[in-house]
Amino acid sequence: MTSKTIFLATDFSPSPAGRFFEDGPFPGSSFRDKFLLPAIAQNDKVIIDLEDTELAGSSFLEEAFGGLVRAGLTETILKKKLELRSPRNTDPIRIWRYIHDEAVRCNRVS
Amino acid sequence: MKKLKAKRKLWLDARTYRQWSENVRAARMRNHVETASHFKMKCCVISVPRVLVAEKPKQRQEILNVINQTITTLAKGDTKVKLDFSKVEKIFPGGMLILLASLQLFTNVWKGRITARCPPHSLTAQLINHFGLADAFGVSANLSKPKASSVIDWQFLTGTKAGGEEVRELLNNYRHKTNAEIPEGLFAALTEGLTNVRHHAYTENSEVPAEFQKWWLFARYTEPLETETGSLFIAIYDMGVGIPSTMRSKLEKGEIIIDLIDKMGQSIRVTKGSALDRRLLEEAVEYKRSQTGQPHRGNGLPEMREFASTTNGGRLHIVSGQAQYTFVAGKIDGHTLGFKEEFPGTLLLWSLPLKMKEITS
Repeated sequence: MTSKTIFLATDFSPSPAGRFFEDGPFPGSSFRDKFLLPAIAQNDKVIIDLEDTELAGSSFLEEAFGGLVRAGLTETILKKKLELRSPRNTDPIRIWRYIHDEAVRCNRVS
Repeated sequence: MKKLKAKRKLWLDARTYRQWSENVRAARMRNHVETASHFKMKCCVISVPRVLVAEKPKQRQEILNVINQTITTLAKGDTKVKLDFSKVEKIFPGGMLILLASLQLFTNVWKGRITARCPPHSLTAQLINHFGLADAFGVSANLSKPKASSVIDWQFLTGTKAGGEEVRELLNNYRHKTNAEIPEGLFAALTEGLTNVRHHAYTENSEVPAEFQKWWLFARYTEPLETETGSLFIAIYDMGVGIPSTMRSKLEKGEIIIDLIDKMGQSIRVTKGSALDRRLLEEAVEYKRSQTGQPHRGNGLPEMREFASTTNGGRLHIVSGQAQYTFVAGKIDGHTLGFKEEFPGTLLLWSLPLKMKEITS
């Protein structure tokens, strides 16, 4: 079983913000396309560590994680493959909510 | 004496007239050049109000009156504007932000035609210098050097992108020198505000010059003491089309009727015509309604409200179009007011009380 840990603060940015590529240097779409999607495709388990990052806004989180569902992944696959680590309890709750809401809308719960 | 022939006399008269006409024309030209070089523009002194605060409608209107009067005067072409700041006593970020952002735009359009009159070393003079506008407004750099901590603690950012790194640096500045808890969700709330400007504020056919299609952010911080609560005021401003205006393209059935009633009421001067703007602003903040119509969008404004609700005594004000939304932490619903005058752009303003960190052993 292969596993990969992505440290958001050091691998990407401690201050991620924005939704689309043109919004700034570290938007959600960039994190999704350059880090999340390749890591999920190549590994059985992907751990996202949010230590030392600012509490990101909804545009970043929704596009990065909710965007995984729009990219074709189901909530069930993401639950199996993704693990979220954060010093803030609210981070995983928010991220899973964005994933779930988008899965319901796109009919990709399982 | 030799008698002139009639033909010769006619020729001489014509030559004299020609020479005279040329002399007159040359004199006129000289006179015109002299007049132009000595042309002195008229000067209109506009008094800036005593309190610069944007969240209170009456005081905000006074600031907008200064802005409108400045535009009207400068548009005349033969008049300069001298802004008199000598009566200013209290300055809050929202008020200063809308005034300075507008003046920055005007100094770009009408170069050298705005000056400021500030008492030497006054807080206003120091702030104008602190924000890099002393030179443009003809304020002496020596007499406006920022010294007061209440001035130095003001932070000013401007840009066009989501601004994550800039906002982090601003917050880290405060975090490093304060004893107060800077609320955790502030980064998210601010970057959402800036992302919203990027996505919605400026349309393709915006009248705002391209270099001014951006956001301005002011922050003012007061350190808490053991007996006294501190405060953090943060304001974000853009000169875009405004939140209600961006949502007008996707009106629901009931809202089309409100719009009609608004227009009729305004035309016969019975109402302010702001009912629709009030409703749209409230929908955007409280019901996650996005101008894009995409269901996964539109989280930004509700998130800002949510952030304010997690602070102890925090407030969020949003001024846009003909409406103002205010939310006070501890209350369930926000409060929306309508105005006859349209606000130029959108202003987001957080007022956050700061308490000292609890020391744990």
